[in-house]
Amino acid sequence: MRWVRDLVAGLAVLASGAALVVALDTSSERTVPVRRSATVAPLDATLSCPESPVDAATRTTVFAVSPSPRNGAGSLQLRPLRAVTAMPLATQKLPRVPLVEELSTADGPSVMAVADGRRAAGATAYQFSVSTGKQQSGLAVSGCDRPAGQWWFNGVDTEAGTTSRLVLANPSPGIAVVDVLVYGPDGPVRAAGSRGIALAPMSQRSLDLATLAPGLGNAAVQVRTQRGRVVAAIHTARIVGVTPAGSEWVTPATMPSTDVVVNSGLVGSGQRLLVIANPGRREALVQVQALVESGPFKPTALGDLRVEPGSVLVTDVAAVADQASTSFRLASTVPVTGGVVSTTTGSRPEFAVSASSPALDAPAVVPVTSGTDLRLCASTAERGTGRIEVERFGREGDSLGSEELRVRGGSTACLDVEATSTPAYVVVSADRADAVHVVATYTGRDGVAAVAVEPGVWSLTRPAVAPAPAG
Amino acid sequence: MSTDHGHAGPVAATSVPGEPDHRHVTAVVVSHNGARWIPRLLAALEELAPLPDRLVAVDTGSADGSRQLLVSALGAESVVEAPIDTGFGAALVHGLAQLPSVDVPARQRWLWMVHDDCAPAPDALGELLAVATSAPDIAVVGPRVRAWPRGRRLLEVGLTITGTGHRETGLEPGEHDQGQHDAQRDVLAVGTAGMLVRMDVWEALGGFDPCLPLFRDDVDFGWRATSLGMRVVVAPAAIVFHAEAAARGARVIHNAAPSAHRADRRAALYTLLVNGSATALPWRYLRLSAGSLLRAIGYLLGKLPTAAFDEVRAMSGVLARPDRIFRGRTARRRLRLAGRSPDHRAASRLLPPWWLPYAHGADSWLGRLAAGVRDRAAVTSSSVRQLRAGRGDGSALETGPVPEEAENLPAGTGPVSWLRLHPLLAVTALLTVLALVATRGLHGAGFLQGGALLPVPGSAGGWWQLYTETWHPVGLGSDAPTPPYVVVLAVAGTVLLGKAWLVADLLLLFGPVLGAVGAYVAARRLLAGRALRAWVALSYACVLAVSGVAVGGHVGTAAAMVVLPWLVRASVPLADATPGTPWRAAFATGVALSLLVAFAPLAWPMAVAVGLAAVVAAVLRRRHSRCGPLLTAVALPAVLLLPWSLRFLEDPRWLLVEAGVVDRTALGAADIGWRLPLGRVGEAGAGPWWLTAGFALAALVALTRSRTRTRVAGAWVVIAVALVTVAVVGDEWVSVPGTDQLAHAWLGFPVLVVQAGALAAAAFAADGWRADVTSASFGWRQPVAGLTVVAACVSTVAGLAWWAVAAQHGDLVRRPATTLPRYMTDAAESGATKRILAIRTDADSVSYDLRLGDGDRLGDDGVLAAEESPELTALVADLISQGRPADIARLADFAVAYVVVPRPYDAAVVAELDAIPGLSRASTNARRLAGWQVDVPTGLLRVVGSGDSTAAADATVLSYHDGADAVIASGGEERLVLVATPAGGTFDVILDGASLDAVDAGALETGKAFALGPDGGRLAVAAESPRQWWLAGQACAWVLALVLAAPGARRAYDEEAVR
Repeated sequence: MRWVRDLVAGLAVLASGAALVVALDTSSERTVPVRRSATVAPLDATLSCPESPVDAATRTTVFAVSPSPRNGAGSLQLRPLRAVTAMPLATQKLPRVPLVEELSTADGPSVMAVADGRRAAGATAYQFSVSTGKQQSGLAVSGCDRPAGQWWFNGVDTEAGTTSRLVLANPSPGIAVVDVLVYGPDGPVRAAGSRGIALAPMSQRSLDLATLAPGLGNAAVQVRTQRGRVVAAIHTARIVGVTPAGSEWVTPATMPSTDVVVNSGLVGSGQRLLVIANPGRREALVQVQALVESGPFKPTALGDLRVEPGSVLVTDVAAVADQASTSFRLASTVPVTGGVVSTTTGSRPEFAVSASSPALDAPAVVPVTSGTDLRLCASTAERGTGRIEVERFGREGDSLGSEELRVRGGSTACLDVEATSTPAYVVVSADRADAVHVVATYTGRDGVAAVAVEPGVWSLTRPAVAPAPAG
Repeated sequence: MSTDHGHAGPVAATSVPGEPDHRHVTAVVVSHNGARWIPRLLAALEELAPLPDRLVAVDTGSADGSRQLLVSALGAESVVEAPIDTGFGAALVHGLAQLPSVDVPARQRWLWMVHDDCAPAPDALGELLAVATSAPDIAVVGPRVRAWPRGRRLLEVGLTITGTGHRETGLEPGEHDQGQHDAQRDVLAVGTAGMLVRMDVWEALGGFDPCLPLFRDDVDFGWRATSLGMRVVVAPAAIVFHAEAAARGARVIHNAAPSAHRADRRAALYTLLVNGSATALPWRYLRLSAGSLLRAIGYLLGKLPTAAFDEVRAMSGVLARPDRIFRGRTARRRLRLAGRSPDHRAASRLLPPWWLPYAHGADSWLGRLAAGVRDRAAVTSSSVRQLRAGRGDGSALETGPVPEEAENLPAGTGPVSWLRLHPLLAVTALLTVLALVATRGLHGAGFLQGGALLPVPGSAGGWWQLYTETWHPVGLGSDAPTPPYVVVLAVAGTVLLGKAWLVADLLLLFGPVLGAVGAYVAARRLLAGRALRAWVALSYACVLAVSGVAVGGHVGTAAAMVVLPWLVRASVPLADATPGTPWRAAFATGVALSLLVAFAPLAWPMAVAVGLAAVVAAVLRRRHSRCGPLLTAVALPAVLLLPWSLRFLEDPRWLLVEAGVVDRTALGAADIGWRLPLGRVGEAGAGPWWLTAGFALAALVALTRSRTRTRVAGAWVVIAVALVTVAVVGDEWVSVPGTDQLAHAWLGFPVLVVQAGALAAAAFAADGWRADVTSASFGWRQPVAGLTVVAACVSTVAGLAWWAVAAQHGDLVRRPATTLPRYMTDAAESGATKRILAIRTDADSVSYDLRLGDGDRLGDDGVLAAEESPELTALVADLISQGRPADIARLADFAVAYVVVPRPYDAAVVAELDAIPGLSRASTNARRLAGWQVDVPTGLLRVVGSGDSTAAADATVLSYHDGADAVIASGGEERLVLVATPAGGTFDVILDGASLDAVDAGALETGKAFALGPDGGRLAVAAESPRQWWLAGQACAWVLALVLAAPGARRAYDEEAVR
């Protein structure tokens, strides 16, 4: 039987070799379904307006609209920022029909627009304040924003003659805890009492920034939450001598980035200061490009700007940006944020602070108010021509026609919205997402104001969620 | 028909008839197939002084010439015949009836009972009579009984009976007569071999009870006599040698039961029940019933089924016939002697304490255990001494065969020689030191975890609970059968005093050491050279250490490789040429294979393939007796691992999932590449491929040696089977439980079997290679063999050195089992059984897991729900994108009490959760995680007002711990009982004895709902499953398999001594 064992041994070796060859030769890929995030319509929206001053010298009006044409269950309400059980100031259930409510003293200190159901998509609210008092005067326009975990402001002034207040609102049912960081020309300002500021649910709190960082001109302020989300806004009022020189809500800036577009703001002569804040720990080397109607150019006077870590650089750009249709593109080696502080001179001095604005990646609502002219300036830093469609809507939500604004690559173009048909608001949409930045400028007898046009929240990203394997 | 010894020689009879102290002795010899012992009995009777007055022999149908022997010695007139089924007492009566009456008062007449297998000493009768006449109340006298034929071993010096029915002699086993029992004393009874009874007492008691034909008649008689106020006394000076042939099974008994054991037990039970006080009777009934059952089980465990059967038959024959007991007790109650009625108190003082049989049992068991160890040690050391002496001066005499351990022993007395004399100890010590060095940094506080290893439970009790519970409160809940490796871990943990962590540490940190010990023990059966065995053990440890299996947390493969050598050891008799059918080895192999399959199911098809190959080989070699055992061995796991093994029939892909979590980083065979035959599976922490190349080379070279090719071919068959397994499953995928992910099947076990097979092939070929090489003329074989040996040894040394010095810890870490705050885990594990939802946002996509307590533990991986819950996934997505108040009720439906987001996390997600009404921030260590508490009452078991989600805030949470039992108040019409078990499980919900109906409520996606209604009462909730029956059956199957696999118990009766 020796042959049997030899045969078995031989077969075993051959089988081993063959199995090894087969094992090493076979390889296949299995396609595992990849979970992707989904886009869904928001179920609700809470837009908190900053402090709504109402007194004998100040008149405040809140505008809110749900521009989504879809009918269905849902409502848009204006409510005081109080307990959930507070009665609404006004309610609108129809699509595209705006709510315009002039606030009374009983509605303060601030209000919020709450939308749910079908009215939540794209819901937008603005607040207009006109002051005619001795302490402050002028037109102040501010968007009512969604709560967020971080806010940036540029061009904040706490020098003598200027009053800057940080208004924090917590429209959520949980406690929010906030840190306020101030960056000045000489670096971060260590301010006592600026960390761990607690806000009760459905509450608002106002801080005089001069108590945190006195004597700073054109500072940058970061508001970030340790817990919860808040809506932050900074209101600045100036007095020259004994004359009010304007009051303004400082437009919130986008998050620091290496590529930022800043609109220059007001029309007219006066001071134009470009404020660049570098909150990082490395020096920023910033190249400034002016985006004007005729196209982009690099101002030789500006050259490459160096911004120290944690500090703010202020540069006079009046020579470059003496026209409204000028924007600046800041290309930096490290994330920066920026803004332009514009001051008009004359019998009624006024100022405005524009900031790096978000790209218009979704339709945005811009209200139109009687007695003021609305001008929309769109900039794009990218190549190629962008097209802006501006559709006008009446007080009953009816479409009044649309206009188109073409923006060549690397330029800024403006459009004056016709007030002849007395539209209630316009819906601005761009055909190139992430490329076009729009600023709205209101000019009227009460003063001037500029706000960055922020795209409405028409949808939310529902992240891909998967159960984690054990271990 | 009788023999009158009045004329029998110079020795006078017991007395002179007519005198006042005349004592008349009638001796009755009862014979039944006692030809082996009768000649010596007759010789002893001849030497008696004094002689009995009369002697009659009763033969009860002997077929071996006993009657002829008696007739030739005593004369035909002194021998009477009785039927074959005549009992001892009846034979006595029959013999006495044949004698003429004598004119002696009954008080002076004595009956002397003599067995055919006993031999009284010459002065035995005289000494008995001396004691018998020393007091008027002495009615029964017994001799000192010693072992046949003239031994000094004591058998009896008086008798009593224990509470379990055993004859209690008061002697140690094997106790020698050294004069320690020389004092005369009262006892309950004396044996019938040599018993001297006063005739009036004999007649008053009616002789022996006919219901006790052979056994316990003596005890019963003494008990009755004592109850009537008479004394039963031992006369130590009277010596009788007794063979105890019937009790030792040395002769077949025809007059009692088919077996001596059954007759003995039947008599014991009967004796205890008919005697003694009536008040103790119920207790005796219970004790004897339970005792008999336990004894029967013990016999079964000792593989003595006949004895177990006898025990059961005896029990049923006595305990099931209370009428006989009643008649026996009535007869005893009516006994009278000199006007005295029975008094049980007199006899009770002569009974032993109740605990005595148990003390004897423990003594006996410990004694046997110690003797076994002592005997083995003595044999080994004796052999070593002999061998040393033989090697030292060459003059030692060969005294016989020596055990395996003593072969090839080196001489010397230093520490090095001591280590060489104890190679297993040396190998274990060396590897333990290497393991300690290699696993530095993995010892200390915390739990070993990482890779495929989950932290172990806090104690072995966690594994027991997991294995025995019907419904598992892990993750989404599960009623999946617990994999059997959990109970193996539980047993191991229990043996290690409940320290579950030690089990994981031993398997993963010291797995190579344990594997080496097993390999050495297996090599003892396969290899002759001690050095070769040590090399095999060290190399096996090297293979395990460099594979990276342990540092990948693959507890299944690590445990399987520890069990594998024992499987090999158990299966050796199935392959060798020893005659007979190795059923014991078959069951031992089956048990070892079941353990292996429990950890690594892939081992089963591999074992089946090897087993079938062995069956073919057995048929070819005409060893058909091997086929049954081989097939039994490979089939046994299917039975022992029920119901878990049924899942392989449902989906064979389960064979690819071993103990531990599915390794999502496992590589396919093609990805592992050519490192695969070298024992690598692509694990982080594995050694360089070349470390084990020497083993593969040795396995190839092993094929060239002709003398050992049969065994080497066997090893190569194993290698081939393992490689074919790798080829078949190397490209297979398995699903990761609870997710939609897939992972490559883990190939660790077959790949390591390839290496183990290579080691076996090399070792088989190396066994005795030195003699072959040196005896053959120089050629190519010598250098090839030498180089191969060098390569193999270098591989071993280099591999172990790499392990100790350079091995990385791979995925394995030791850290706390959880980072969750203690109050959360405590609340989750509390009676309400709440869950914790952990959301991770650190990866590209958001992932979550649902925990009960402090997370999944080793063993939970086997019962986790296979499918994910789409409802829970949607809920998590809603929570982190746009959470709303309604989501809180959804969380409560899943019994989620806390939501945590471990760092690093997306601040936007944390802010979103902060903004959800109904979620309150919970206290956590902010550097580790953010946490929220769900602000509605929640738990696994809730009573809600309705199926509406708004009712969640008013829910009543009931305590649940492996079921619930609570009193609830009455309430609304639409009340529901909700059980938050979305992943499965069937529950019985009973209100005051009435089962509640399951309803199709909206909450059913998250569990079960039952219509409670307005009535209150006692609410009981229990998981419904036949698992308890499965467990009972499985336990019985394991006990049976272990009994059949264990060495058989020695029979109690030592026939050799009788001969």
